[in-house]
Amino acid sequence: MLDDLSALLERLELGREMKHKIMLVVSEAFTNAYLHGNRENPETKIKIGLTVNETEITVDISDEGKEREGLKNIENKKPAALFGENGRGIDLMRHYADKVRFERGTKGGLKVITTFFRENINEVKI
Amino acid sequence: MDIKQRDRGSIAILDLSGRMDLSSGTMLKEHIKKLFEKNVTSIHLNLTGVEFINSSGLGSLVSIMKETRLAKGRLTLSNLANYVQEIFEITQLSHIFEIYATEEEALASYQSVPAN
Repeated sequence: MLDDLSALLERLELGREMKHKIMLVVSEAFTNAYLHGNRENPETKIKIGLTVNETEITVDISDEGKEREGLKNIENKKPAALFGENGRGIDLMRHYADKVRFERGTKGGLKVITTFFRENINEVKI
Repeated sequence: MDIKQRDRGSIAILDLSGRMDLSSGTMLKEHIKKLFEKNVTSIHLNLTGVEFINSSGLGSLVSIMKETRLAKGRLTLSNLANYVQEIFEITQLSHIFEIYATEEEALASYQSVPAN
């Protein structure tokens, strides 16, 4: 998935900083969709949509799990323990994306919508 | 991710390159498990070639650090790209890992702070 996304972002010539931000945020959302939404079920799919315009880039990631469960997990999420091995993904998504929203997807699973403002691409050091 | 091992005395130096995520983190944990089986518990990770790390990759490193401490060994990191260093700082993991600017500095530290 990341190889495909990397190649696509390269073609869009978004710049290195923006590419890194998007790849990180999408990889976090994809991992959550795979582990927590679809529960590693190989029969299920994860859909990724990318929209690009002059001012912003939007990436949405939808799983086929249960949206209510997904939202509940996010609402009840505690800060990651310093020595914990999990729990940092959503914090990183919120840090690097300009906007993160969660809603019900068309398949009843969780849809994560992340937005990146193109004028902010210089905020991340590479 | 690619893992290449070099040895300097009792220290295993692993050159990591590529992406550190869920699958490559598991691969790294397996590699280090084999080192523990050979009683090698002083481990240095040179991250020069790591172009991408996400929370799953960080989680693997935390797991390795805890296992190393349990084995009374040491884990050091060096040569983090700015982008990777920034993620360590955002997540505050920079406070619990021994991170050095260069591999030389990290290896020199083993002279003064040996493994437990």
